[in-house]
Amino acid sequence: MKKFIILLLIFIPTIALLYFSLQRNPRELPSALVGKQATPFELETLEGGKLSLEMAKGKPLILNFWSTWCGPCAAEHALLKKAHENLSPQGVVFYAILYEDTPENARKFISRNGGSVPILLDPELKTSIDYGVSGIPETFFINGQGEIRYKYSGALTPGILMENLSKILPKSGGNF
Amino acid sequence: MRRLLIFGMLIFCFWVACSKPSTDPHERVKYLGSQIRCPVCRGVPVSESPSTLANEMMEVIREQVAAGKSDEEILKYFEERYGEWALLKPKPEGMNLSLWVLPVLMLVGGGIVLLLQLRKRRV
Repeated sequence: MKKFIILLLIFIPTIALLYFSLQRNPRELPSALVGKQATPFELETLEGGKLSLEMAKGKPLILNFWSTWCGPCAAEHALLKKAHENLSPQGVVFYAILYEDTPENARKFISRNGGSVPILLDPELKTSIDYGVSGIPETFFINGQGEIRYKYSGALTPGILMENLSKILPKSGGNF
Repeated sequence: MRRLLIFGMLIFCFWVACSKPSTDPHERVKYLGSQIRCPVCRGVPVSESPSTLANEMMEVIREQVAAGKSDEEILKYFEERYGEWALLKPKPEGMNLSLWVLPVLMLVGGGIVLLLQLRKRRV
């Protein structure tokens, strides 16, 4: 009987732990930044201009951290390209911050794959660290008030993009 | 007895001297770097990681130390961005308390079990 109780005491917590672990979506990493104000930044663009968080104020912002050497970033590129084309006329702002990569690589990537999302350079990773970036791609959904509503780690899918876009869009919504 | 007391006091003074936080900026950067987990490594502090991100995080620590921020403020900066996970030494609060309490409880419990077993054998 004693042995049975000891076995139960080991078995039940192990099963409970497994159950709760398997229920979690590994891509849904809880971010300490969700619900907080996005940290201001002003970064140089690939074309030599400057873009900042302030410039997107009042508009929903999709802030994507990416790199040319990252497979999932390449996988989501077509979706971001299409979403940018269709949603920017509706007032949605897209910024793609280049992470641990060179402007030359980014230029080659864009000339091969196309795309008009503004690319921002973060050579010292200051903005990446400010946003707690640890693995790319990472996408932040920021509303017009500058509040981070969601952070997604991994390649975006149309479903994930639309679901989280609805969190930052004004009530009228958006389609692409 | 007197010698033991002096020895105890020496140990205490040594402990106090060792636990006093360093004011040397270089030492502070090193210490803080050893307290923050490298986000792209496995259980390695940023001070020991060769990754670009960890190097840049060390640079952020250097800048914040130079700007006169306290250790607590710097650790909080990283915790607010990467979550409590970023701190290699979890804060002793909430569920984390079990990390401090459980070993003591197990030690005490083990001691009691051992004592009971020894008594049983004597009887």
